[in-house]
Amino acid sequence: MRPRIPALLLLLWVGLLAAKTDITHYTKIGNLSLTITNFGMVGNGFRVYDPATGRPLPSLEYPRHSGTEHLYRGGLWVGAVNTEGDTLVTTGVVDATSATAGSEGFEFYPTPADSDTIRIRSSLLTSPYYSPDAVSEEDFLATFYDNLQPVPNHVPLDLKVNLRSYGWSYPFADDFVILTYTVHHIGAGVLSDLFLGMYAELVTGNRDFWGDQFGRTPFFQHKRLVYLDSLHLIYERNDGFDTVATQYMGLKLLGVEFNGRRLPLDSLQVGFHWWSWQDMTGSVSDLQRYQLLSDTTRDPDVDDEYVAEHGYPDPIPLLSVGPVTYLSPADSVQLVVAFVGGENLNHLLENASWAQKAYDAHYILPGPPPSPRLTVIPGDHRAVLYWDRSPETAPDPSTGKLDFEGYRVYRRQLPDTNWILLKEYDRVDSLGFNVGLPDTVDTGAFRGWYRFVDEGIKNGFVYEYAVTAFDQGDPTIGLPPLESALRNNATRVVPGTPPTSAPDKEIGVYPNPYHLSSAFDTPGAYGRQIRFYNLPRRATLYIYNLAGNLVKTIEHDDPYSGEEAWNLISDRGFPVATGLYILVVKDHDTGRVKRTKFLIVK
Amino acid sequence: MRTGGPILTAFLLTAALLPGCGRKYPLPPVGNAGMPPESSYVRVEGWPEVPVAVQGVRDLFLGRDGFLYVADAQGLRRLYTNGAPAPVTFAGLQAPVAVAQAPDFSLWVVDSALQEIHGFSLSAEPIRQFAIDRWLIARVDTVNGQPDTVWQSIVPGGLTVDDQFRLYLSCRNLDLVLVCDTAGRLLDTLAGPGSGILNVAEPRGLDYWNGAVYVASTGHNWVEALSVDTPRTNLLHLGGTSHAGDTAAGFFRQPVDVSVDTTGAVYVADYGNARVQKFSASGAFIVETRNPDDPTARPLSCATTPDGMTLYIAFHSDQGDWLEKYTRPVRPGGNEGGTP
Repeated sequence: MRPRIPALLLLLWVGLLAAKTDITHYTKIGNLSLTITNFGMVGNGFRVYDPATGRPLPSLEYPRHSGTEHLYRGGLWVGAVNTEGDTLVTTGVVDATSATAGSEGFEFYPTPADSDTIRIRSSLLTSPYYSPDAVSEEDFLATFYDNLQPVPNHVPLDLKVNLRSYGWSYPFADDFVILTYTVHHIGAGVLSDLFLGMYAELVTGNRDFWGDQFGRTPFFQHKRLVYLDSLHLIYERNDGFDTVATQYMGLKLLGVEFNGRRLPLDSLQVGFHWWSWQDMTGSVSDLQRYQLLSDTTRDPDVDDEYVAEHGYPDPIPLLSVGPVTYLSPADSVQLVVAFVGGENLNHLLENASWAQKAYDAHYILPGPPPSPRLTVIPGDHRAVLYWDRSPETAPDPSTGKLDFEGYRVYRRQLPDTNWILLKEYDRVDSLGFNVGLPDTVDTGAFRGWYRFVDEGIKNGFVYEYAVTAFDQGDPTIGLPPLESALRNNATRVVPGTPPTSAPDKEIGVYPNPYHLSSAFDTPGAYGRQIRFYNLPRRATLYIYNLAGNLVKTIEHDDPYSGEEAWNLISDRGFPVATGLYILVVKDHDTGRVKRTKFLIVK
Repeated sequence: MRTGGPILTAFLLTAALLPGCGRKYPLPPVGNAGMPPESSYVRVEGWPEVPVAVQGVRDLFLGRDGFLYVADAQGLRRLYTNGAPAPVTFAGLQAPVAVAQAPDFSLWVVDSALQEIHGFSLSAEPIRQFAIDRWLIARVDTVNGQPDTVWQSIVPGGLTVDDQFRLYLSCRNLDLVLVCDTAGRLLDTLAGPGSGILNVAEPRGLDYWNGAVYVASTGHNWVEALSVDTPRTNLLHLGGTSHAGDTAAGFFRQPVDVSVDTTGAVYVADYGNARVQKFSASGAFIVETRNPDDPTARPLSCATTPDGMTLYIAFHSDQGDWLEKYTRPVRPGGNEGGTP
C-alpha cells in the first residue's frame, strides 16, 4: 500500500505555526484553481478543507468547480555548490513518507511577520485587491526562506525566494497559471553551478468518480506522463480508468532570468526526470538530488507502451534547468513555469502556447476593452439601460490599437445564474454582423450615452443587467474577439411602478394575500417579500396590525422606483403573524396620506 | 604656600607633555591592553579535504565571493574552502603575483612576467587587461639622435581594491604603492620611498579595510595602514620604532602579507619570525600562530575570513610550499567575547 499519510500535512502545519504558513489560498480568476502556499509548495495534498463548509479546498482543480484534480503537490527545488565545496539542495516538497520526517524536505519557511503570508493584487479596477502594481488579474505574492528554521538533515543554501503567480480570466488565458520564483542568495560568498527544478506530482482524477477512494492508493495507479522536449512541457493524463477526468494537465518551463535578463533556454540544460514514489524521500542525500537536477539526459515517457513493458512505476516528475554559473548576494535568478490545463492534447498545446506568449510579452496580454459605465433604471415592467462610450477610446494593452468592435447587452433573472444575450451591437465594418451602434441620448443626465430599453419584464423580481464591450480580436495569431467580463458592471434592479404622487393612484400591494413561499420569496428566513407599489418618491410607510399597533416603519426615497419591499420582519426583529394589516403612506412632498389593507397568511 | 605654585605647574606641564616628547611613531602596546586573552589559532586537521599541491606561492586570498584563491607557479586557481579546486580557468596569465576582488566580484590579478593587470568576471571571463610598465618613465635615452623613452618595469608585490573600484599596487623595486582605476589609468601614489610611517620600503602584501590600505612594508619591517583619502594619514602603525625588526611580540622580521577582517583586526604574515601575528584594530597585539609541526615554517601569505574565526596560511620550508587552515578556538559556553 502506498502510504499517503493524512496526518502528515497536519503535523507539518502545526510545526510551522510560528511561521504563519498559509495553505488556504487558491487561484479563482481563471479556469484553474491552484493552491499556492507561502512555504514553497503548491497544491495541498488533497488534505485541506474549508472550515466553513467542510468541503475540500482545490489542490489543482481543472476545470474549475469540476471536482477533477490534477496535482497532489508540487514545489521548488534549488541545488548549488557553495564556496565550501558542499553540494546542497533545498526542496520545497519531497515524497514524504512519515510524519516524523515530514518537515524534512519541506525546507522553505516564511518569517513570523504578519505580513509574510499570501498577498493578493489585481489589475481589475473592480477587485477589492486592485493595485496599479498588479501584473495580472490575480497576482499571489509570497516570500519564503530556507534558513529561518532548522530542518533535520538539511544544510541551507541561504536562499530567499519571492513567489509571484499570475492568472487571467480572458478566454485565451484562463487555462493556465504562471508561477515565477525569484531566488536570492542571502548568505556570504557565492553559489555556483545552480540548478532550479519544479517538482510536481501530477495526477488526474475526479473526486466524484473516486468517492471515498479519492486520494488513496488506487487513485494514484493511473498516471500517464509525457515530456515534450521542444516545448519544455510535461503533461499528465489519466489512463482512461477515470471516465470523468478526461482533461490534461501540463507543467511548462517558460523561462529563466538572471538579474532580470532573460536567458535563452537553449543556452541552458533542461532536464526531465521521474522516479517512483518514495524514492526521493527526505533521507535521500542532497548529492543525489543535485545529480537529478543537473542531469542533462531525459527519462522515458510513462505512456501505455512503457507501462505494458515495464509495469506501472507511479512516477513523480521533476522539470529542471541550469546551470547558473554563479549567484552572488547581488544577483537573482528567476524560474518561470506554468501549470496549463486542456480539455484534450490539442487544447493543452494551444493553452501552453498562450502561456508562453504571455511570458514572452512580459505578461502584457491582449485584453478586451474595458466595460462601459452602466446605469439601469427600473420602470413598470421595464428597465432602461444607459452606458457610456469609454470602451471605444481604450487602446488594447498589448498592441496599442483602438480595436473596439461592439457591445453586448445581457440580462438574468435571479436566482438563475445563466445570462441571456438580449442584444448585440457592432460597428459597420468588415467584422461581425454590422448592425451598427445604438443611438445616443441627446438630453438629460445621460446625454451622449447609449440607451436600451428592456420591455416586458415582471415587476417585483430581481433582474441583473450587464453590458460588455468586445474587440476585433486578431485572426493573424488566432486570437478571437475579447469581451469584457459581465461582472464588471453587472447591475441589479427590481422593476416596478414609477414613483407617483397623483391623488388618483391608489397604493397597491402584491402578492395580496401573501402566502408563504410566494413566487417573490427567496430562500431563507429573511427571503420573504411583500411589495408595495404606486408609492410617492419620498414617503414613510407605516404598517399597523388590526389591534392598531405599529408593526413596521419604512422610509422610501427613490427617484426611479415607486415600489418598496418588506421582508415580513417587524421593527422589533420578529416575523409577523398571520392577519390583516393596514398600510399608511405619508407623502413627504404633498403631505397627503393614503391607506390600503393587505392580508398575510402563514 | 605660594612657592608650591610654579613647582606644581611645572610638574603638570611635564606630565602632560613628556609622553609625547620624542615619540616619532606610535609604540606597539604592551601586553594585551585589557583585551580578553585569546589562544593561538588551531590547525584544522584533515584540511584540505582534497589535496592541493602548491609551489612558489605568491598570494593566498579569500575573496568577497567566498572562494579561496591561490596564485603560485601554476597560475591562479580558485578553490572551494574545503580545498577542492573549482572548475574554472583564469586564462592568459603567466606569473600571477597578487589577486584582489572588487565589490562587484570582478577579480583583478597582477602578473609580474606580463607586467599587466588582468580583470576577470566572476565566471573567469576576461573583462580587461592593461599594462603597468607604461605608467612610469625610467629615463629617456637618445638613440640615433632621437629621444627614446625607457619605461620603468615594476616588480609587483601586492594588490588590493577599495570600495570605489580603485586598485592599489605595491611595487617592490620602486618602494611605491600606486593607485589606478580598473581602466588602467594611473591615478595617484599612495606611498613612496622614505623612512617614515607614510613611506614604504619593498612593499608587498596589501589589504583594504574601512578607508585604509594596509601595507606590509617588508624593507621597514613595519605594517602601515594609510588613508586612501588625502591628505594621507597613518591610521595604524605596527612593528615598533626602528626598521631593525624584532622577534618579540608585536614586531616583525620581513612581514610579507597582511589581511584584515571586518572588525579591523589585522593579521600579518611575519615571514622572518615564522608566524602570523594578530592585532586588534587599534594595534594591540593579540596572538601569534605558528605551524605546530614545524615552528620554522615561514608564512608566505595569509587570509582571514570576514569574522576572523578562520585563517588560511600558505607556508614555506625546505620541504616546499603548502596550505593550511586554522580556526580560532572557542571557549566552552561561548567564544572569547568576539574578535577584539
